[in-house]
Amino acid sequence: MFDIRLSKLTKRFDNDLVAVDQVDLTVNEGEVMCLLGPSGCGKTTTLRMIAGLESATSGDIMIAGKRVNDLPTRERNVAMTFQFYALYPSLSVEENLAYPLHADKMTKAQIAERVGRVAEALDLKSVLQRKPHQLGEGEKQRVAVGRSIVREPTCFLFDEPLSRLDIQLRQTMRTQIKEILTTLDKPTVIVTHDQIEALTMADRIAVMRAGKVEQVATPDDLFSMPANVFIASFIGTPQMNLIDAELIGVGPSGADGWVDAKFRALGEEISESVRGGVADLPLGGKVKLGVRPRSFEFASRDTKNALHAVVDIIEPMGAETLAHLVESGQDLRCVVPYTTELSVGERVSVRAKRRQLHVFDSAGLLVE
Amino acid sequence: MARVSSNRGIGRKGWLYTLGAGVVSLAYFFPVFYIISTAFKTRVDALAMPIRFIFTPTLDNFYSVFVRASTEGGAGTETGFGLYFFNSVFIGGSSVFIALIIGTAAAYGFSRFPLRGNDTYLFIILTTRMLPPIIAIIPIFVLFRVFSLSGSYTGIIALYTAFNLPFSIWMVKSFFDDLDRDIEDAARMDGSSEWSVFWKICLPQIMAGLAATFVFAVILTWNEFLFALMLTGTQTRTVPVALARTIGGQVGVDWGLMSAIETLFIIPVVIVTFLLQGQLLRGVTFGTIRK
Repeated sequence: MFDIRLSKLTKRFDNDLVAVDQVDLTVNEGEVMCLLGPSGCGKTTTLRMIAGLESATSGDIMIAGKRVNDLPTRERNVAMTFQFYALYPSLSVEENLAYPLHADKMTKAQIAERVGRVAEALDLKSVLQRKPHQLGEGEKQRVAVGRSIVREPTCFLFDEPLSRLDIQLRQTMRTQIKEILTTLDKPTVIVTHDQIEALTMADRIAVMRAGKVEQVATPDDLFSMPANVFIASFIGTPQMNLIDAELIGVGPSGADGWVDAKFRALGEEISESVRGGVADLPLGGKVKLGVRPRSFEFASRDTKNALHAVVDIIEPMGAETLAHLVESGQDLRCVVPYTTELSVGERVSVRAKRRQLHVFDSAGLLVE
Repeated sequence: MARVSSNRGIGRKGWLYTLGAGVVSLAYFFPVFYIISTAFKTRVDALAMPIRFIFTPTLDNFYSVFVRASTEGGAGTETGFGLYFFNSVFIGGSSVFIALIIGTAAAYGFSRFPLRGNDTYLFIILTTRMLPPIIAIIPIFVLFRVFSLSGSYTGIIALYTAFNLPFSIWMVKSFFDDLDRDIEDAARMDGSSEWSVFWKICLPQIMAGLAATFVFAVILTWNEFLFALMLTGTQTRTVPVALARTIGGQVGVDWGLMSAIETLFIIPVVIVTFLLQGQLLRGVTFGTIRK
């Protein structure tokens, strides 16, 4: 069983900075795990510890059931693609691709066969004799990927694989890498700060902040049930609205675990169907209501349970328009079809779509 | 040459720059030209004032570098300059080569496996080059006496190696420092041992830098006079010392002969520099043109 298991993994640097703090994470066989987080959150350090390029201060790194903490990098049989590709500048593309195979004591014919196969798959046949500095960004990226898949490692690591590519190339490569990863069927860890990259390529995403894993979930779950306000505002563009509110009443629990709850927010009293955990919160307690900009819909003036605000800024985004609304010092972001007629200064009413309102308790955790 | 440039439209300013550069180049080249031309002059032409630019060239000076005509007639005697040239090449070449090997290993260590107080060690190494060498001459002379190294190849090569080391370590370290560490990590991921990382990945990347270091060290060593004078013997004498010894005796200063020796002495350095010039240019601009 090929998997990666991190338990209580910690990295403390010489200057006492704790870069990775008690991280527990399991990447199953054939699973693509994205480590997602802002810069400096410890995601790259975690990756480098799995690779053996950084030593762990404490905790265990298990690859395929074996503790590898004390194994040097070359004995871990892990492949990694670096952010800046790290191609060997004095070697040709062909030699770059063949390099990992030399350690495996293969014959010349076997090496040529493997390199040929990878070059074919990644469309590198025509540049095999070139040196890295003669390649375009996309080609360099493909050579880097090729070099990591040319042998058969137990797992794959990618450090910001697409960050250097332009937008168009990025989309192509994203699809291509995803395809390759599906056929390889090995545990893979991808580090990225780009949520689109994470959401599109990952089977599961681990969101990191300040050295800790905040949540591990599938892209869908991460989006629909962010564990806390940090993730809620980190995932999804435009950012989720987090509205300060007060819980003033909870109705009877429904059969499906949802309840009707009453909140006071932006000077209005609204009643919404929310997850049943709300019943355990103290009445009169402070909460935050999370609503995605696309979960708002415009309502008529007299609609019940609507919030009212003034249009402040209008940003057309093509098929949709992002409207910034203001009320009692709170900003509301709201995405509506481009056909919606809006004018700055207009007072409008918005309402969260049914069951698309998240409640976060006073500690900022999602109420489930 | 200037005419070609004018076709491309370098303009008035370009002309002025070209002219200025030409004048400066001439000023720099003039002493070299003077020496080379003197090497082909007879004694009379060499001493003539004002300087003669038009004269009948002769190879006599080059001949007498190696064979001194007998004053009583008959066969000339060997001057031993063949040996001295060999000595210069052998002593200079091997000391620079050894310094480069040790220096590269040390530089890699300093760059990749820093010790506590790394910078202090590096500074200490540099201090050996801060004093004028003449200060060290007496202790080194005594040391050579005690260990019977005076006049031996071993002694002078060891000394030159020691002289070249600080420079080699510092220069090569800067090349290692400039390398992209991810590439080495990639090699480790690809199953390389630490030795292969150094040998197959790092070293090829700094070849230009090594070439530049080699040339600089060769030039320094090639011209060294003071220690060679004190510490070499008749069999290990280098060209600068032998050159100085031609002065005096019955003939006084034989300018033609000295110029011929110097002309021959310049040639190896010119060849080395010429062969490595491509690498040299990349070496001295290392870091500035990457990424």
